[in-house]
Amino acid sequence: MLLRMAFRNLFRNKRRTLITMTAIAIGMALIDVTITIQHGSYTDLINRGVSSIAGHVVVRSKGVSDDPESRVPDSSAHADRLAGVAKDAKVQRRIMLGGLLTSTSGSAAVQAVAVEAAVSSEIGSMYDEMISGDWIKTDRDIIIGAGLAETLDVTEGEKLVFMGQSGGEMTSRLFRLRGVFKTGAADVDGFMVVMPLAAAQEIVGGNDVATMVTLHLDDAGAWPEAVAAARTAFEGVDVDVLSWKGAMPDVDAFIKADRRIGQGMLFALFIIVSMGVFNTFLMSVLERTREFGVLQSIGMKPNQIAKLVLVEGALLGFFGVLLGSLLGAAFSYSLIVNGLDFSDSMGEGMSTSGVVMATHFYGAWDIPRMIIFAIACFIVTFIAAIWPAWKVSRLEPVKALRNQG
Amino acid sequence: MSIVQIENVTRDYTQGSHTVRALRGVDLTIEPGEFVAIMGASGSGKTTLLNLVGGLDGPTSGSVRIEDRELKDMTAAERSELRRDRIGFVFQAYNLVPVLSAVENAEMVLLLRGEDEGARRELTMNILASVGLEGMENRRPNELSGGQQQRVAIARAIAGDPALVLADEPTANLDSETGNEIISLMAELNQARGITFVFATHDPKVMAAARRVIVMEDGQVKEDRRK
Repeated sequence: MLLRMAFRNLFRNKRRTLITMTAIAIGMALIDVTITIQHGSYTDLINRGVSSIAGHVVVRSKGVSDDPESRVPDSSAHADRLAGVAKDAKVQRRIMLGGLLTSTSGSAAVQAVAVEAAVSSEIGSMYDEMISGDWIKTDRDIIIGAGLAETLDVTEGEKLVFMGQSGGEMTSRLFRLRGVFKTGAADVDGFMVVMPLAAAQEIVGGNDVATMVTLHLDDAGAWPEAVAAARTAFEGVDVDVLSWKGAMPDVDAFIKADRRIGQGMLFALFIIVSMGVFNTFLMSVLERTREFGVLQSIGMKPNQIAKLVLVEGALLGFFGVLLGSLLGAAFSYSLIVNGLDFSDSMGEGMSTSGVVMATHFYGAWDIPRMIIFAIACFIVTFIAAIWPAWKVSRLEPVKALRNQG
Repeated sequence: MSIVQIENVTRDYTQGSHTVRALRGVDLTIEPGEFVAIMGASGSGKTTLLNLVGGLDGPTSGSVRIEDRELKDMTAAERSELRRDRIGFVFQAYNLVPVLSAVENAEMVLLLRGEDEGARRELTMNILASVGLEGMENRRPNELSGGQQQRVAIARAIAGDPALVLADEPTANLDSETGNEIISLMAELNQARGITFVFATHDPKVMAAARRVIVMEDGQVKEDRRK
């Protein structure tokens, strides 16, 4: 009966109930959409970072943060060891190398990423951003960004000389431009080059050296287990075994900060929704004061009256959150399939710590967070009904009966 | 054992900086099965007295006992229980719950007692039939006339088989014919079930039907006569 009364009470003033429920639903849908966009952009940023400058698991020499030129010898052995950590995962060796790239028209300072061409094309990175030419095939091939190609005024097939430093000595090596990539981020397109690992090893003077050996998983979510397994596998070996978070601390910090800002906005949204619900409940309770007096006069106890109001709050919250979750799921699905194109407003694009951020965002499901926020939204709605319920339980019957509300 | 025992009861209300004394030392005893009309002009203290007897309000001083239980010694929840189990109310404005049907309104007290649904519904249907509302059980208050709503209110008041029904101006909102019907109905219930009825009223028809008339004036019992 309490449930039936609560249900009918909600539909006494249909317009008010629908407006309140819509406010909850819109709030919930906005929360879901925000979660989907955030999760999609973080996932994309991590994937791009993992494929271009790190991995889900990264093995590198100890103390590399103090000396960026520090490299691990015997990288092939490390790669074999790392390959045994996770089935079907890909292992990549990379050398990061600063230098000067010279064409017949000019020179430019560059950051070279030396990769194993076959693996690198499988895990993505710059391979996915190629706009002309082909991916690396021989040890003489080099890929450069579109901005750099413009600066150096070169096209595919032309010669380029890379000058790098190794052990205090300058070394030059001749390359032929094989292809051009364009990420949209000016600092990446105008500064980064991709060359074969063997060529970089030749420049730095070490046959089997690498700046890092990285593991790339098909299931990105399995990285904690892979890191743990890798740490066990490399026990006693003089290297650092890092997760993508340890290898890209700036990216991790950016995601944490952005998530914190997002949570602040969601909290503000919660407050707005709860104030709306609180206002509705207070109005609904005050205008029924006389009726509560009648219920008390026929023997309803104060706590039963409070329960009635709380059940109304719970029903309103439940259906508002349910409707909002359905709406949010529908909008989220659209964002996951079609994405949001910010290329016009973001222009040239942005990068953080050398990782290019997408200008066309695609959402990604984050079901656990959506469920947590749905429960939180329901609880907030319920809390908004507590004070009116408490107030109504404190009514004096005779005063309530005199109320003309 | 008397059903109502009131001893030297006063009730003061504060209105701004003024204190209004609504009751001034009322003494009254009502026995089981009585059919009592409390008469008096507006502001004489009739409704205040009824509210004190029903435990809806507390006295400033003095004692109100229902079936030997002192109301001021009881908690709000205990007074609610007392009303649920022993007292029925009938109001001038009917005061039915608008979202509930006639039968749901009438069975409210039984529901609050936790009575089994089948027995509760059967008993309430019988009571509604006995107050002349057969076939109207599923109508909401806004689908009933004033007289019909007051019948539902009476059914609600007696559904829990109370010892005492307190009725505040039960005929004031009804036309003369319907008012007569309601008075007759309550008189029948008094006779048939032995329920004690106490009315606060201006209505001479109620006074005519009552077997005891208490006249109040300025918060005091001016006259108490039995027919």
